[in-house]
Amino acid sequence: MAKTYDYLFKLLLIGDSGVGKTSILFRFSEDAFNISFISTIGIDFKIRTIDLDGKKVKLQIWDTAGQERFRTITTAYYRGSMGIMLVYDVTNEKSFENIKNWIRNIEENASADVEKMILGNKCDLDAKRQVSKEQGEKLAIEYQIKFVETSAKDSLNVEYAFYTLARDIKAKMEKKQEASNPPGNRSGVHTLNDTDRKRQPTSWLARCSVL
Amino acid sequence: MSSSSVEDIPEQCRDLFTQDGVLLKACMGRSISDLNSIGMLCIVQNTDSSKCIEWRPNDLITIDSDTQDQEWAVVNTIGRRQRTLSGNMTSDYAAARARIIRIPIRDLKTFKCSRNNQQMQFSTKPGVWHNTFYFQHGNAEIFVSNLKNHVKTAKTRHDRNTYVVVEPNLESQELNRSFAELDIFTENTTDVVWNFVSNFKQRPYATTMEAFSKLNDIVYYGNETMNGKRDVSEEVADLLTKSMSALEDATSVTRSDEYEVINVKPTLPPRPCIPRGTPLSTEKWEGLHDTEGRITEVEGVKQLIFRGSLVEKDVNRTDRTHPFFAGDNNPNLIVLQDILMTYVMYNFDLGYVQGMSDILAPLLLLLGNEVDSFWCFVGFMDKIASNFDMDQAGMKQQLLNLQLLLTFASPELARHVASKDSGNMYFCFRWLLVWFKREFSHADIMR
Repeated sequence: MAKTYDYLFKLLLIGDSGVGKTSILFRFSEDAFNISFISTIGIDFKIRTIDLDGKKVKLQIWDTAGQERFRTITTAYYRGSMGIMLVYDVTNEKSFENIKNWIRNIEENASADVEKMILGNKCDLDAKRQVSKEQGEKLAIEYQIKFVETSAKDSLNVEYAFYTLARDIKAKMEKKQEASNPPGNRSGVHTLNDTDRKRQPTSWLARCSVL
Repeated sequence: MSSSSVEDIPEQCRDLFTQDGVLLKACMGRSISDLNSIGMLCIVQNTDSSKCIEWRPNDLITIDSDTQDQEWAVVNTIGRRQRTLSGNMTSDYAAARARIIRIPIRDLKTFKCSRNNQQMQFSTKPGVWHNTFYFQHGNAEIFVSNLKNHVKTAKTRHDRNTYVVVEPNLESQELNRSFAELDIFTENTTDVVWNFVSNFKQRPYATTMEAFSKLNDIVYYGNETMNGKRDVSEEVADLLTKSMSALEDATSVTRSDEYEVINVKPTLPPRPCIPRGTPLSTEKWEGLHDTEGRITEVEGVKQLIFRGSLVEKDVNRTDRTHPFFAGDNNPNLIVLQDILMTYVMYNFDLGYVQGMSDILAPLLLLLGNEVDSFWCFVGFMDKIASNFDMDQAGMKQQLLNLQLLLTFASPELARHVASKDSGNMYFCFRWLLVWFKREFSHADIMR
């Protein structure tokens, strides 16, 4: 088998300049943090392959420049995305208010069924906080988008965020496959999947049975 | 008495144009007996140089001969006109004169042609057609084109044959004239005007400035090409019709026989979002003073006022691994920021764009002083300003060129890139924007 992964998911990070998009990505892909990270010009990307319920999922994560000026370049990457992370900075109220604008951007440029998640980054900087967790949750409920506060610096919830988004995409994708490919038409694979689900596929054992 | 009346016509009212064989088909406030009589439709200039449309019944001339009248309904009309001038009048002339219909041109609101251009109606009040004339010989075309020499008209959107008089009062007449004389649209074709409007919709700022600059050219340098031009107000008239039809989608029309109610809901392009921090409030500001009105924490206040500046954010993350910019409170960072802030003021339209700090940092490193670095940066930016332009036109052109080059240099790679949805070459954006500064080591950049 040539492919080293079962799924390829394209993700996108958007949000105001300096909220920590690159840092979040750097934490996730390299498990490192640099306080004086360079600004992103245009677009950039990183790759990490994760295990998700027994499947190898390759995440191709696109990082974007936050400045309005580069919007024409960055919006070109919305359409191919299966999941989008909306990032704001809890110490910067404006970046939080702008989440609404970013959501509008998604509505205008991304595919309608794109998975979304809101991240309130820099939650380690409690002394400088301008946006409460409750505000973040309220906004997330308003838009019916999952939400989590993260700290790229302290490595808080970054893994969780990417895994959650990837899992949601996977679930949606499999649901779609199921719909277009009814169980009756399939053989073998289907029964395996069924036992898989019953066994709570959290261990490597479950993966073995699939393979 | 009658002789003085005869003199009246040529002296007081100069006929600018006459059309014979025009039947009065309908006229408000006139007895039925007046209708269906034949006459002459004229454009007349009065002694006070005001103009009016005048219909004169043929009876004015042929009142003494009923038999002749029959005949004249069909024969050459020139003869009759000559008779008018030759003064073949009777005492009934005064009564006939009362039947003349006058429509002062300054009151004219709309006119329309119908029935194969053979019928013409005039209106001085919206929705009311006061007079209807029927052109027995030929059609109203020549009359309309002559009338257009005296009034500025626009065809309405829904009916090509209905004309709206666009300058009902003197003020707008003068305005139109001055615009016409300015001749802003040098090429003077409808397309140019139409482009102007569509540009205005898409790029209101740039287009307005462009128009102002043209105006400026004319005011200061004059306009060399003044003659042989189509009247600008005609362009505007065309333009109105076009822009009206552009609005059609967003327009709902309630039609009735003679008029329509138009509800226009124009769709404007989305308003660009310009992120700004909330301004410093009075309460906050007062809270920053001590009891004697001194500001307790100057740096904190500065932070509040200038917070969220992108320049500051970027300065704190530009080449920080280099010893020259490394460490907290590095004074070189302040210099870097000051130069960028000065440049923002120096080139206010462009403003700060990410990537500028990357261009400036090596210059400051090399020159070591603020003033030289600033001017050097200005010079460099002059060369590459198109990279940073609001519309990114410079970048788009370069990416396009790069794509073209690649197609020649390595068609296979170009095909592959295209197959991966990357034919736009956006992945090269950073390379070009900051001249590969991010792709090479510091040492290589400084060489």
